[in-house]
Amino acid sequence: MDQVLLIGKPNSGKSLLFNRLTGLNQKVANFPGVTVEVKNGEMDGVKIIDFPGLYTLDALTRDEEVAIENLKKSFEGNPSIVCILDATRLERSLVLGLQVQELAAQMNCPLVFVINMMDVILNNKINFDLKELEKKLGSKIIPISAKSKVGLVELKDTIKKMVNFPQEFSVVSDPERLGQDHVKTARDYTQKWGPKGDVILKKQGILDKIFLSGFLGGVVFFLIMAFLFQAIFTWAVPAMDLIEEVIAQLGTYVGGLVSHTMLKDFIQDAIFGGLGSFLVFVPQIFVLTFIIGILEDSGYLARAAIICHRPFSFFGLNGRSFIPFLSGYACSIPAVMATRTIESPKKRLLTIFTIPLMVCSARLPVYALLVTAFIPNTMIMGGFFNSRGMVFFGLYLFGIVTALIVSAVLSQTTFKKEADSPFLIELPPYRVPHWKPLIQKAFTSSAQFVTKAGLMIFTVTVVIWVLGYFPHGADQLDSSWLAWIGKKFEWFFQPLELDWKYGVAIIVSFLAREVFVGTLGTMFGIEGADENIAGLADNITASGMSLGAGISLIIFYSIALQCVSTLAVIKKETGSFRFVIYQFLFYMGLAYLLSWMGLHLVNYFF
Amino acid sequence: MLVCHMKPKFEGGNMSLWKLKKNQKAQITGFSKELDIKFKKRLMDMGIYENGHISCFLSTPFSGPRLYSVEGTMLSLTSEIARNIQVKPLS
Repeated sequence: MDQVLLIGKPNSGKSLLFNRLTGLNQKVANFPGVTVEVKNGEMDGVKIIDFPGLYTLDALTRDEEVAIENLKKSFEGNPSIVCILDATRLERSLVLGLQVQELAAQMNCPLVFVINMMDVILNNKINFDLKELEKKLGSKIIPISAKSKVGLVELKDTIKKMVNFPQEFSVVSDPERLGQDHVKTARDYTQKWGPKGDVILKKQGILDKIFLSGFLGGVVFFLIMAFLFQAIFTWAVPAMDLIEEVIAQLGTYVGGLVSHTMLKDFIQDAIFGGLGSFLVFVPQIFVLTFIIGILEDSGYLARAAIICHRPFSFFGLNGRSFIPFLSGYACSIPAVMATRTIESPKKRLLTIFTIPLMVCSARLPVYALLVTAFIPNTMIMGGFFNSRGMVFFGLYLFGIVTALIVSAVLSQTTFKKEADSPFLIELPPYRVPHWKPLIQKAFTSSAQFVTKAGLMIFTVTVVIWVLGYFPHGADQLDSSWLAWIGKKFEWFFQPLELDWKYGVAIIVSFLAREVFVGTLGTMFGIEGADENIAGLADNITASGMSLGAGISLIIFYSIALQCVSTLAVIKKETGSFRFVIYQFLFYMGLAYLLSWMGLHLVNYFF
Repeated sequence: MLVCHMKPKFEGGNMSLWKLKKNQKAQITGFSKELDIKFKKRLMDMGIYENGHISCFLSTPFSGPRLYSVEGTMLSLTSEIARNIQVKPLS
């Protein structure tokens, strides 16, 4: 199939244009072995490739280097090039445009320029000499507005023509321009023929004065974050309940079809029980990706990064660490992938290292269980706050505070010598986000979560079930293979005053945290432990576990890196096995030490 | 490290960009020698080049990154970078 490459700067409206051209017909793919994500789509039998946004073809960081190397490699197949310029910021996008054009000329690839956001120019009645600019550039220019769908028909026709008659679109650049610096050429052309005046800046400045001013900006920031968390924990709930209900019903129904006892136990406990406890988190990930998408496309996230830069840099991080941390509250996997936007390799590594301390949604059921079991339900501070709610809030705070301290220490020790680069952001203009690409993105990341983590969690559940069921069948847990293994590791958990059952639950939850509740539930012999956290909590309290041991268990869970899928993604993103091993052992040691200290502190005071 | 943390000295009516006050306009006159060449190239691609104009649009509290408007775009620069850019204020 003929290939067309879409190239442009970040925030040039490239993703929306890609959506307009390909409709629902698209896939996200990674280049093998690297972290550059490329979207593929189809338009009337032509393959459209949406390349990630680039500022220039001169790489500053390793990630950009990889992206640019891949871009150059893609040019070898002589694809047709569509280079997107931004009419509202012509000079800057022209710098990249000229570089891409030069490369296309060298590699003998046909090229057209697309000037997006022409609606802004027309609405403001600004002069823009497209004819002369086209002549000087030596490539066809198509003015469009991806937002209001103007010029898209012409663009589609041109793409088809370019694929069939590439020689008509080969680059004929002005000989005067040869050898001249792209920055200078872009300036000359824009000054002579480009739109006059800062179209957007003046209007948008007022918004920045609100969002970035000291006091007001801070208030808005906290309001937006509060809204985000509210949304994750309230909007997602109906969908989560629905998924849980459907899976439970389905389990009962399918179980009813089978008469064999063992097979029935397996289907109900392992397949539907395990799958259910994990699919329940998908709506949260969907909501989070969607809202972060809105914040990103509206231009606010870049402002949030600026607000966070100063406090974060105190701990060795940078303003860009904020977005991955935020995603980390839903799931570490998309969060680790979101660190690709951090230019400084050092800060990127530090962010990846500390993301697992964010309270991901897999920790939620574990916390819910342990807090219910160990914290009495009373109203405190004059009846305004619920004690359990406060402990929950405290656990969230504990996560971010630990992350900042760990980062501050490691930036001066382990990662001291890593390459660093300063914080530099080009502020995207504020825009009203378009919902279609956002919904699509939310679906993609939910699907990624299901495929990446799903298989792992499913496997664990099956293995645990088999080990706990055999050799003597149901209700014989104490003599099962699982008990035999658990007792072998009892020495390790004894100093934390935890018996073998908790030991097993902790060990298996190194594969995925949320397995903890299910595993413990299976072991306490309760059907559907996930759905009935209160019943399981009563069992834990009745088993005579001390408050100290409970607290130490909570501390252990808030620090230990118990998630194989996250480790696998980190290995892929950092390309270093040593990093993953170090990170795992580091948190294991820290979790063990702090739980032990927590246990003895509680035992001393109570 | 791409940027030197020492404060470079500028002469002859020139000063560092970081010293530019809010709403003040200036002409860019150069870069300190400590600035890494790759990083300087990036700044130029983003619109900060000699003889270009720049103005300080907004400063954030606690010496956080400031906003500078450059040739139709808005850039956010930290003191780390702005100290290495030499400007001449326009009256």
